[in-house]
Amino acid sequence: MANWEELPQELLKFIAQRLAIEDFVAFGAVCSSWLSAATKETYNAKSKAPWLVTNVYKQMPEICSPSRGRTYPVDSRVGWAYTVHEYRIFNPLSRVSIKPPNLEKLRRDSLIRPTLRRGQGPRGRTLSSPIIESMALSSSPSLSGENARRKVSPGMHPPSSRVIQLIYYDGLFVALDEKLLVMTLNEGESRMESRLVLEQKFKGRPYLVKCSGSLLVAWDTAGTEGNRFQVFDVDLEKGTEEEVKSLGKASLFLNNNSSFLMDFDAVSCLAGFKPNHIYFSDYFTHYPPKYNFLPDYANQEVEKKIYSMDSGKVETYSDVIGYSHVGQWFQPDF
Amino acid sequence: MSSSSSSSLPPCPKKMITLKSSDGETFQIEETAALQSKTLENMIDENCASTPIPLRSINGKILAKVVEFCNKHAEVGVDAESLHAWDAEFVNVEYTTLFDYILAANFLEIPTLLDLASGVVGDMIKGKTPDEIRKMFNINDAFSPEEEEEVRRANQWAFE
Repeated sequence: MANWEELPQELLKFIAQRLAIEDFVAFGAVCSSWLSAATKETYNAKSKAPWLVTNVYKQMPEICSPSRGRTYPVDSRVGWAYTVHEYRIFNPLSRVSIKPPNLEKLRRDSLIRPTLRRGQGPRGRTLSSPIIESMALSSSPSLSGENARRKVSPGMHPPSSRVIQLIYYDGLFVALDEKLLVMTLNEGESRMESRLVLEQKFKGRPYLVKCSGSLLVAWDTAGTEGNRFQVFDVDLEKGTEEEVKSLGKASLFLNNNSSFLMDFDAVSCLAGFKPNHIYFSDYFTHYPPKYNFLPDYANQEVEKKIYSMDSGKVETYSDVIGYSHVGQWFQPDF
Repeated sequence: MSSSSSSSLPPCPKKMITLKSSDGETFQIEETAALQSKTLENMIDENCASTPIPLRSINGKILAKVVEFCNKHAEVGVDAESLHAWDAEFVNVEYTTLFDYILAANFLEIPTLLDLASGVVGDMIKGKTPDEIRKMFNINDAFSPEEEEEVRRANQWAFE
């Protein structure tokens, strides 16, 4: 008689590895033996279908699994906090939350000057507190943010230039500013180092995309350059970039920040997603770009679309849930 | 690979090896087909395959199927589509048989069979609740109430 709870752990892991996250969780809830096989070490988020976090800015976020056609409410007791002094990064699945350092304290300690903003105060100018514009998680984010923070000097970075993308790639924090300068953090010297200036410039907006083995820049050209998207492989060491014509079996998922690449291999649980496509938020169809690099309209309802690298066609992303999603793509993980 | 040993034998296009199941049945399998099993491959390499190889953890019924699987996958000129259909039919079996396939594929180290059988188990789990999975695989030993609560709390989002 087959005794499934006594299947060797290595075989249980082998089975669990190929499950989508919902099934992986159900698998772990079957019995003690299966639970010990379905640990977070067994789960490889990189080969699993991405999810969306929706309505983050409406206080009641939901997480949505397009391949399964389900949405899950996020427990509002944990919630997302977005007040200026109460940023919080948190994993809606495991409910682990990380509190970044207090910005006021950071400002006092590091002598960051408050910035002047036009048109807000009585004399047309007002002081505003520092705000966090981008966040990127390192491979081992610390839970004690207060102690882990470090002041980083801008190095060559012109003070007037704003960082528009910040990611963690290949053990490095990589930033892209609005002058198209790509910088990396030199941890030893605590400063940003210039690596290269992107040669290819388009109207629209660039996205830094991390994938194993290479760093990509995906340009949403807003249709001003023929094809909607142009993708480049950036070599940080050599300071060069090379156009990528096809993503092969992979697809890109673009967010305001922390965009990523998914590879469609045989074991992937990626039902409903297409290879060699770019999943993006369309900021431009109704508002053609007046300037390069629009500010982050993260809180606006922007249509999700898909661009085919093969045909160059753009279509609206609609899935089995049946409504147009606003939100951020992420790879569900524990 | 030693070429001297094969040249001393008379030319034989179909070199066979013999497998012996836990219940004493013997099966002939071509060496080329047997090479899909890393376990058997090692034994062949070490010249341990000249006498019947006893497989104490695999019964005759399962071993017959495994030999059939290896033969099919060693066939030349089978197109991917028809092999896929054949595979689907091969694993269209009861859960207990599937279980034995997984153990046999693991013991004999046949990655194609292990992949195939595990994939079917994965497909059966897909979209089911833990309760449904327990029923399907006849698993009675679940958790203590404390463990149950802990699992439920940690993964509340999935079970709501």
